[in-house]
Amino acid sequence: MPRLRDAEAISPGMVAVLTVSLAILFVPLFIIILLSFNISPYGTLPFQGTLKWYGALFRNSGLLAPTWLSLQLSFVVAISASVFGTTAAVWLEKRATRLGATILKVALLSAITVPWLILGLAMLLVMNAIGLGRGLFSMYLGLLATTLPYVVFIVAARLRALDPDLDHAARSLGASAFVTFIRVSAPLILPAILSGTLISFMVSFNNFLIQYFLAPFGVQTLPLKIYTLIRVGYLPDLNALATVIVAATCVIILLLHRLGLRNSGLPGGG
Amino acid sequence: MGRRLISAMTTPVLLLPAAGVLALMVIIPLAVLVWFSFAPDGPAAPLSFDSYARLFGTGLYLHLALKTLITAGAASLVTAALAWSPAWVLSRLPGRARNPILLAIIIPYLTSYLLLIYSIFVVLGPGSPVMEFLRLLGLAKPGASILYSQPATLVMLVYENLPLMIFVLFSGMQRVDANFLAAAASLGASRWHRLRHVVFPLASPSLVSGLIMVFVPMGGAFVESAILGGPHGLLLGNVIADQMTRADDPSFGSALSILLLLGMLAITGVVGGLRPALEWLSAERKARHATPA
Repeated sequence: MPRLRDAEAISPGMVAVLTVSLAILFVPLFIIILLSFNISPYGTLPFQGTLKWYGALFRNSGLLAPTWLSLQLSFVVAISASVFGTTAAVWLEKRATRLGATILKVALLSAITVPWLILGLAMLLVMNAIGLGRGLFSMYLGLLATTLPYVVFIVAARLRALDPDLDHAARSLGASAFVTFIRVSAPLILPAILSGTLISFMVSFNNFLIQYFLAPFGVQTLPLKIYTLIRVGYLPDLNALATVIVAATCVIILLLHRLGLRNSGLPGGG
Repeated sequence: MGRRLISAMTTPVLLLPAAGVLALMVIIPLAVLVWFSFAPDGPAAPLSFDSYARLFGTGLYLHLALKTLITAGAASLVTAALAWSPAWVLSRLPGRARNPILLAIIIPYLTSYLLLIYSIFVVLGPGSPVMEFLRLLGLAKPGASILYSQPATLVMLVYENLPLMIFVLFSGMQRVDANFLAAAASLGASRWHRLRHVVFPLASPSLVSGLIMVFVPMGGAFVESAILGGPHGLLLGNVIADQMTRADDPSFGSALSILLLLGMLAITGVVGGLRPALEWLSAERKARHATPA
């Protein structure tokens, strides 16, 4: 009969397995971060520390303009997604018919499950057909469509989890539906809205495929710029930029985590 | 009455922006895709099957579609295999240890995959620290790299989707209560037996979800193969992108896209239906062998 192990124990073997897996995940990024401080412009060892690539990045790199464009575009998309997505989520939870809700959910799911290669191409066909063609506005619409689902699903889930008694109490005290929403529901779902906005920002910033098909010629967002640069080969100031982006991603993840924590402490909430 | 009117007006206002954007950028494009695949002579001309005829005419595109689906399938399975153990260990760890690790895993997930491709590009290139390390171990020739080859594309696809697969498997494995394992062990089940009869059945729904969630984007991959795949590494995604942009044949590109979508739909349908089918089969067998009381 096999030994009855303590079911809660973590063996050293398990720790080793986890460490190796995490190493696989993080080694490539670590190497880039390491190389961003390395003096060699060819990505080879031996290692010699320097900050010059960060200086080059800020002074004369062709990376700054695309980064700025990506930041602005993603910001506008994220704000739009959070506003339109939240109102759509409110509609979904409070005013939707079953048919309407199903149609909306299918549309939202299609936006994130259909491979963005195919969706992006199809979007381009339609944009060309209606005369808009490639352009900043088309890119904005395309990115908005693919980020709305995240906001809607996150906010709708949060709305569904709210205690209905709070709404009823407000209404019974004479508040209109609108006032109830502004003063009671909205503060409670705010963390969800913020999380959705942050995720929209990241997803639209990184959405290479939609940008590839809808960006006007000559205009480059950061992922597009990186795509053309990779063909060139190794670029040391790209390492510096990558390190900065990874650091910013860490900050955003911590923010998302804080928003999640505060969520569960509220009365009537999750 | 004023309130009723306002209330009735707010409903469309709430929904319209989102619905409008989705209709314009998702629903209509997909419909247009199907339409264009039947309109090889332009939108005004009569519909025809010409694009599909061309597609099936040579074996070339079917071969490419098959290669793409097989690559995506293999990459999905490798991803699941690599993600299984860390997901299991994470599900057994207490929250204090586990949560920071989960948060850390989100980092590569939220990082632009162009940057991930770039990091793999550097890692697999000649002279990189990893290649040098392998050379020191005697596993690689000096100056060698597996860049610009099909394995490189596969490595990239696996690497990109590993975080997602770990999360999905982890959430399923959390349901495996430690008491089940203790109970099974107390009844004499070996480790392998516990894995097969306790862990695997409870975790398999999330395994299936995970496989489907990574398979679909992998099927549509074209950036990875464009950068890392080399001359023989082209996938269907590359051809589709090419047809639509450079070759300017949207009808053929649409037909190829529909082919790819149908292929993925068929495979995910089979994989998703596998478990219910197996359960139904085993229930049938049990019912047939049951002896009357």
